[in-house]
Amino acid sequence: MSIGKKGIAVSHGFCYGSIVLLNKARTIVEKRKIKKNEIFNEINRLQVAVEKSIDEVSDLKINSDYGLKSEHIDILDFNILILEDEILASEVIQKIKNDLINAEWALNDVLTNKSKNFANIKDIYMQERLADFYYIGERIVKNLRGANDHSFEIKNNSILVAHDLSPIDTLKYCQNEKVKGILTDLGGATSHTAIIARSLSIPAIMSLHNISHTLKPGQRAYVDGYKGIVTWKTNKEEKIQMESLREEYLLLEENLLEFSKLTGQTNDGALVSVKANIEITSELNSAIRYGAEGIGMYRTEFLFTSKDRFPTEDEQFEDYKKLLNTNHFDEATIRTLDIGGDKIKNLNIEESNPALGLRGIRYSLANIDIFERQLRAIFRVCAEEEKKIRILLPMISNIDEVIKANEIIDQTNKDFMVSDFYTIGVVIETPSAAILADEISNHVDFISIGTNDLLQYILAADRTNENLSNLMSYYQPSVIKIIKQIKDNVGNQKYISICGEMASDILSLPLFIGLGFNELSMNSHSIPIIKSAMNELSSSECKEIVNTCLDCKKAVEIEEILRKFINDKILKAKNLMKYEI
Amino acid sequence: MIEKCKIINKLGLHARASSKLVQVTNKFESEIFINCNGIRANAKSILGILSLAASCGTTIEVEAIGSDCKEAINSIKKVIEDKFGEKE
Repeated sequence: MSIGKKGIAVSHGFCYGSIVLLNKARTIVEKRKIKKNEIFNEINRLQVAVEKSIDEVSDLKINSDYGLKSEHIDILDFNILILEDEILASEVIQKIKNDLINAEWALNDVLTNKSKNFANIKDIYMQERLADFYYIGERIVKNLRGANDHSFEIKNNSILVAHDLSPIDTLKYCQNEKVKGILTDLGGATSHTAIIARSLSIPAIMSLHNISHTLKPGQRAYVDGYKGIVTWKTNKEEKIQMESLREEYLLLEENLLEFSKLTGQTNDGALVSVKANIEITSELNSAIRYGAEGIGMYRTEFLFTSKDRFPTEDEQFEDYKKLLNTNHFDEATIRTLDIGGDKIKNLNIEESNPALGLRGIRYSLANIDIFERQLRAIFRVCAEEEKKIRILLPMISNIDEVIKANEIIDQTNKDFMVSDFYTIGVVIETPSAAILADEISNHVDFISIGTNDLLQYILAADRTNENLSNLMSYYQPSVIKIIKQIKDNVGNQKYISICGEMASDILSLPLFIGLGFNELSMNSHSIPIIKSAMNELSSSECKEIVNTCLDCKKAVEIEEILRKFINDKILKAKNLMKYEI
Repeated sequence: MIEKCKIINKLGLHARASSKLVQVTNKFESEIFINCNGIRANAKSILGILSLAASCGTTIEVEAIGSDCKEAINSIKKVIEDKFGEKE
């Protein structure tokens, strides 16, 4: 009999392969007894590895002066001081001598003990530095092993299994064709690792708890990235079932690809552009594959947080260029940095409530050099590609911010003179901006409603809080009314889009069509279904359904009406809706 | 030579402040210790100082033994009184 385990399906696909265990916890540290005459050699290995580690961190510090804030330098200094620390070195050496064990194990042991001590200190700054301990330990262990690290080898048809997988490692291991699936103990759909897995079209399941302790290297398993189930120890009969499941999924993908070729329009000819939200430029391939009619929002946060420092103007230029360097899109939308204390710890912004803190445009206006550098990179792409970039400003709450941002944009453009190749839009996501939508829209070229944050702020509810899941509904009358108000205030003359998860919600689709939105921007894999559904709806029916919903007093009533409507009208995409895609 | 000194920066001897302190103590020949909360820590070791978990308002004892002990203590007092260059 087979064994199955369910986690969260974060990247669709189905595969059968053999397990490659990347690490049990973080780095595997092996314990090895040494002889007395090896002590000197072991201590020497340790010292060489520590010195190499110090050099590496110092290099980071020297090579990253561009865009590095003093807080980042402080963190690197802190790392160097720990590496140089006499106590650390002497305790590890003592352990090697007394216990006659290898340097890796001794170091791991001392660092684990130290971090346990610090874990008891109730100070958030110390807690955050605990991660540095692991980081430092891993760096030294890596250098202790030197170039002779052949702890695993990736063969054809491998399934990577790890406790946790960093985005960088995911990219590193998965860019060869040999990796067919990913399984991790931790993580969820919004983690960057999940996004990268999706962008590379590798089936991935996360939140599988102790899968990295359960599966053995070389074991063969099925990864069902649609349902989030991993299955192993299958017998002959079960293998046949699995193969028929594979056929089913192949058919599903064929359907999706068929739908992806459709144009985003209703059956009575109203055009609604269906575009993709992406977080890294390597997602462009899957956006194109699933029929995106453009990039509706490129979130730039991952680019800014994937290294120990912010990207240089050149690095940003090279990255943004990829958006337009394709025959598929004539324009792309770049959202300027929407960063806050919650998204990047290295910023060291002290805030008790980062969701209401210095983030989005507020951060950009407080750090004009960073904002200008991003704009310069965008303008260079405009000049070189001669295609249009839509600049999207996040977290606007009043006119002052729009005017100030516009001034900086105008000023920066003086070096490039590319006004014909960019437009400016704002994300309406604060209640304040929603109220001021008509005035704000007078200062910009287009408007985008950021539903994720708007819902959170309108309902004063954290969307990750499970106790509030009833309240956090797309169908709350207040949510639908505010979206209608924004649309009415902005008027029919200005281009307006929905970006955020609600854009991919099939039940909300009739509302967006009925209200007359020009564009929906969503995760790529939702595009085919939304396109197919849209082609089965008429804008006149959708207008009626909007009015019916606006008369309802309760979220459950609205949801019921929309569900019935969709069930009646949507036929082609219906059999795909059960796959949670 | 021993002197008492009060931690007055808002965040106490957290990672960044401890880094600054260790950078100062390592400039001196003297052996330097800090006594606080019943723990005696080598002030030239970042791990030592962090283990004190000295928060704002804590009084610490700075002890220096060696030829430049006086300069060492003065420099340490100065960086503590400067709140480690923090803006608050």
